[in-house]
Amino acid sequence: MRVRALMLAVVCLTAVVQSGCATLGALTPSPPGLGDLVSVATTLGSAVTPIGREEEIEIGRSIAAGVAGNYGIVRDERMTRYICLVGEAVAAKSDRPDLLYHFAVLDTDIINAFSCPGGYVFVTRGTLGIIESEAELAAVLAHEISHVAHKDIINEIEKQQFFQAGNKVAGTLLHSDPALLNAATSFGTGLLFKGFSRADEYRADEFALTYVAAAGYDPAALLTFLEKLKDGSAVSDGGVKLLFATHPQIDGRISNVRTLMSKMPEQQRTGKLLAPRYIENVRSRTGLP
Amino acid sequence: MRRRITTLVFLAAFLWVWSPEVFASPVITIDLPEAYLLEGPGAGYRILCKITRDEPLILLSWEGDWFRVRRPNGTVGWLSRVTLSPEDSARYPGTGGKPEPVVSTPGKTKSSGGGFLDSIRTGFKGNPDNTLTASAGGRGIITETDSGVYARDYWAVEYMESIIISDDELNRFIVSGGLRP
Repeated sequence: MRVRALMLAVVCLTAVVQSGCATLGALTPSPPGLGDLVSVATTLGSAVTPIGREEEIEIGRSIAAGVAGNYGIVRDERMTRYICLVGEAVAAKSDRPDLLYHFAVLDTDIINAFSCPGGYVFVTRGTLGIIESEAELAAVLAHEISHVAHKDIINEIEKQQFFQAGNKVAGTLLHSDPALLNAATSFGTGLLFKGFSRADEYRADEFALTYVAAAGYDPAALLTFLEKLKDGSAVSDGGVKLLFATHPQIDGRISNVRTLMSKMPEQQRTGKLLAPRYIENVRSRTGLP
Repeated sequence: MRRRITTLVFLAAFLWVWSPEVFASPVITIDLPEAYLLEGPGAGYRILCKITRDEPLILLSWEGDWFRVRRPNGTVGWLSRVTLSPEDSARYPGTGGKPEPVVSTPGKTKSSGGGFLDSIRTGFKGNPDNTLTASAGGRGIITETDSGVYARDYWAVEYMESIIISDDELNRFIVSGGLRP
């Protein structure tokens, strides 16, 4: 009797297991191309969520790998460490001080800086060549940190159709779907090189002033840096062109920063420049005058 | 005694039915025009290469929703379940079949050893004497996108992540510069 009961149990259990597998197969969504990801997300229903912090870092890491792959990075630990210290000092005053930021120098003469979601920030060797003080470096990094803090790239990715299902965003799918991660990476990288919207850039300048001043640097350093960009003699044509391609008109930014600074309280308009420390840690190591 | 033997036989039969390996077909294909083969079982791992629908892949093992396969050219990597046909996906259900040990990759980016990926790593000049050097050539996996071809340099990202600033170091830096804590 026991044996019969056991047999019956085994048969029933096997049937249930196989039924479950069949159901799994039937429910398995059609393998998606990018255009089909919406149906995948719809199938998953409640598992669909916005892009969270973990996913943001995952996307940012992937984009950062693309940026680094495009230019290469300078592997000077002392100089990179110094860039990190300046960046961390500013990031601590940002709207996302709890994020773990990473900084690196891109091995190119062009004048530019990039920020990727999740806290990956790059400044080019060419940019370091025209910067003359730690405060100017802080201003450049603060501008990029603002893009990270306000999730400028993530917000744009979330708007894309390939990442949406109804009114929701397929954040959690990133972990299980490399096609989705690659689509987000590709779009984010494209946006990074094409440039943010004028509104995002102006806002990044505004917050950069705030972060820099709060950290104790002279906020006017952002202005002096932008004015150097306007003065084409300071940089090569290629560098200026690229910068202009990824940032709004310098005249407009300078005017905007001047207006913002005029509204800052007097005590915030003063701060440190720290030019000798910058020269010691950067200019002298790159062989620049 | 006879009952015990009968019970054992049925238990063995049940386990045989239950084992996913029984269903294992050595060859699978993806159900997409193309998909990425990754270095590990997760979307965060490095892309090894792109594979196409008509390429027969030998299934080596699987872990949950990730399948370890070998290409005809010998490349071994991982595929997501969503790239498989519904039939293959249903054929290999559950938590997986006894996968071979996966090399631990804390940063999810290191090569599992030797060969092509290590040769890329040696492309970097490094900085053992703390001099100014730059990464040079062979910067990872070439990826083609709508905006062109570019490489992903995860070693550079690891380098960025390897530089950790402690609170003490940051405080000393802030104080020595006369900045605001």
